[in-house]
Amino acid sequence: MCPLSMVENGREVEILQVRGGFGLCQRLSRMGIYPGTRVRVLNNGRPGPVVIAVGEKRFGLGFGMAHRIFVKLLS
Amino acid sequence: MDKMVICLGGNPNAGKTTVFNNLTGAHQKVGNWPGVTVEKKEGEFVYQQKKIRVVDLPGTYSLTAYSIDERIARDFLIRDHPDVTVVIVDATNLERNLYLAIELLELGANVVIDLNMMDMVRQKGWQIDVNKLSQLLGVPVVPTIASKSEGMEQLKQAILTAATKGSLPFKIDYGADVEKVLDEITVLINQHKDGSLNVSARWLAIKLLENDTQVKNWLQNLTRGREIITKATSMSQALQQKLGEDVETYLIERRYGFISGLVKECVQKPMGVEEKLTLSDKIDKIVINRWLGIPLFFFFMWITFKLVFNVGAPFADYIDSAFGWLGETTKHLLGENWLSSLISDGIIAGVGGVLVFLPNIIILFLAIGFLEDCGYMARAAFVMDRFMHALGLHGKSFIPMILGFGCNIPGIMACRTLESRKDRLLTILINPFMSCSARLPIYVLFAGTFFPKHAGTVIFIMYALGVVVAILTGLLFKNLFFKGEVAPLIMELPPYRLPTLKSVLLHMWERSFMFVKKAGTIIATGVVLVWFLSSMPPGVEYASGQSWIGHLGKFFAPFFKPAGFGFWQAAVALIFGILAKEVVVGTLGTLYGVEEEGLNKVLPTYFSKLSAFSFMVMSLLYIPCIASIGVIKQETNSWKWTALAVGWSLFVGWTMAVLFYQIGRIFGA
Repeated sequence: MCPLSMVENGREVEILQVRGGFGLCQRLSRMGIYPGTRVRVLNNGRPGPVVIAVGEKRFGLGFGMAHRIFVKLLS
Repeated sequence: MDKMVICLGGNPNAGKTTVFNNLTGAHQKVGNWPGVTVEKKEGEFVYQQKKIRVVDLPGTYSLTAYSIDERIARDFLIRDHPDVTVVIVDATNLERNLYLAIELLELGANVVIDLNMMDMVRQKGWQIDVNKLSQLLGVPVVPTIASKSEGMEQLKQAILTAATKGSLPFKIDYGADVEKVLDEITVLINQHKDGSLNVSARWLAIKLLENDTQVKNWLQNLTRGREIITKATSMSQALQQKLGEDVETYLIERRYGFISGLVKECVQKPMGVEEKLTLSDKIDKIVINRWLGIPLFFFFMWITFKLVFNVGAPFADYIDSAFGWLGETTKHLLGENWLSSLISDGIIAGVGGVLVFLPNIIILFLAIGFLEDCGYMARAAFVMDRFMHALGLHGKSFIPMILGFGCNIPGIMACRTLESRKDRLLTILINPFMSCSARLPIYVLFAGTFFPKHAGTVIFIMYALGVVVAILTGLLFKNLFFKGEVAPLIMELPPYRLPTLKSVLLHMWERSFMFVKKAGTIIATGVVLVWFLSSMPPGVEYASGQSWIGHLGKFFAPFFKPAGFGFWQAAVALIFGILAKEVVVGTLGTLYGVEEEGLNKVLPTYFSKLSAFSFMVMSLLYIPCIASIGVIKQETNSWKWTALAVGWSLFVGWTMAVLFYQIGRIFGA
């Protein structure tokens, strides 16, 4: 388990946990990002924003946000 | 059957606006949703002799009570019961887009799904089984390509059929544990529900489990409503224990689970496509690169401003000479009397002096519209996020600030996209310091007259000073009023696309038209007022110290003495500048009785280089214009914040002007 902010480009990960307030978790889940979702890190601009692919959609996450999302590396 | 009402819902970037435009054509009207200032677009079309009214709901991802937009959409559906709700779905992204459709179905809306962007689906080589999707959801599904107006006839037909047929009940299976609880609450609600709550009891029960504050408020008004809520809360807590996770998250996951099953059934994707980087991804690698991102951003901004000034200038000259000719001709035709003076000195000179800047403004809005539509603006928020965070602001706050360079009004209105109230208020409050295009004429005039060799640099200093003051104000207010963390940034990055000419032009037109309207109303009124006060009392020499305006100016002039421009004409210009900043130049012209050309010669007899500079500083910072104040009131919904914005800017403007002048004097400038 590691924060999304530490994942290198091109890796696929599964989201395990979002360590944030209630509001943050809800907002993410409504965008389709919740424990169990598989996402691919496209561009980790450490210590800048992290761009992820969820299906066909692209999301940018602030570094602070990416730091609170814990993921499992796949493959 | 009386007039039909339908509404359009959909995620942001799903093409909702395009569908709306396709359906209604030119028959649109823009207003506000009751009680809030979120824009409400309505339109009409006639199909098979039926008049159909179309209401455009705000673009949302879901229908919770968390954001204003989503609440508006929900309230409309519950209160107005539209005959049909069209959900525009981005077909390349069914999983996420169908979520809203599912929520609408749960709410009991009579849904028609518009499966938009089918061209992109074909391009990707996917196959979507539209009939199967329609069967599984129990609603009509119409594939369209809104950008090419394809499928609109079929959509209209489907709307009409759906309106007559009505909707089938829709239910998601939330699993035995949740269903049991839902049943119990549904029964309870059904027993006590009265006519005021015209929505399905199951939906209310689901929302209670989701801890929806608005639904709780509604239920509280029922007899024994509190009892239901208490019961639901304890049941939801028990459920949470059983499920091992928060109930709302569980419900959301179940909905997504249902959707991904649906998508697996209906969509066939060729293998391996998802693994490839799209062109958008490749562009992003460069554009939001940690080293290149910020320089690129400044490069784009530089190009924008370059275009605004270099391309706009010749057109501005044409307009200027056209108004000059118009004024001369009017004087010639009417002779020298008060009416010709009102028309040519007052209205034509004043309004003309403002419309001169229309070309610059059009180009600025064209450029901003292009950057927005092609998808770059969302990236800019990202590029600037780290920087903005250091200032205690949100990355998204950057877009309103950039728009503020054009005009603070759209800038302030764009703050709606910020989710947290704290970020929204803060960004609204600092926006007026972003030097809008209305202040540009003042700089052009003064910098051109007093610093002819360095005019560009001086103007740039003004813009930079505005940004610095905005940033410092942000830091100060954040520490005074908005303690606590900035909401973390998450934003969808829509794929880059070449904007259609139509949509860029439409954006540009809406915004520029606002400017022209302002010129026609507020500014014209201001100019006539100046003219009137300058001509009164009767018999006085026009705009002399003895006129009413002269007295007014003389009263306020001493306040500006420490800033180096303590004469009445400057005071009057600044007072009227509150009507609209463009009026400052016009007023000076009227008071000194010369055209803009003549001002170049007159001003140096009043201002020194230093006081000209402090006058520009004052014009930049003091009090937002009347229209901005109005919008700040609307958007903050509070006189207190509005008063703070006005009071603070006046204080900062005056202090900075005095500081520049006095420090400059010490150094003998």
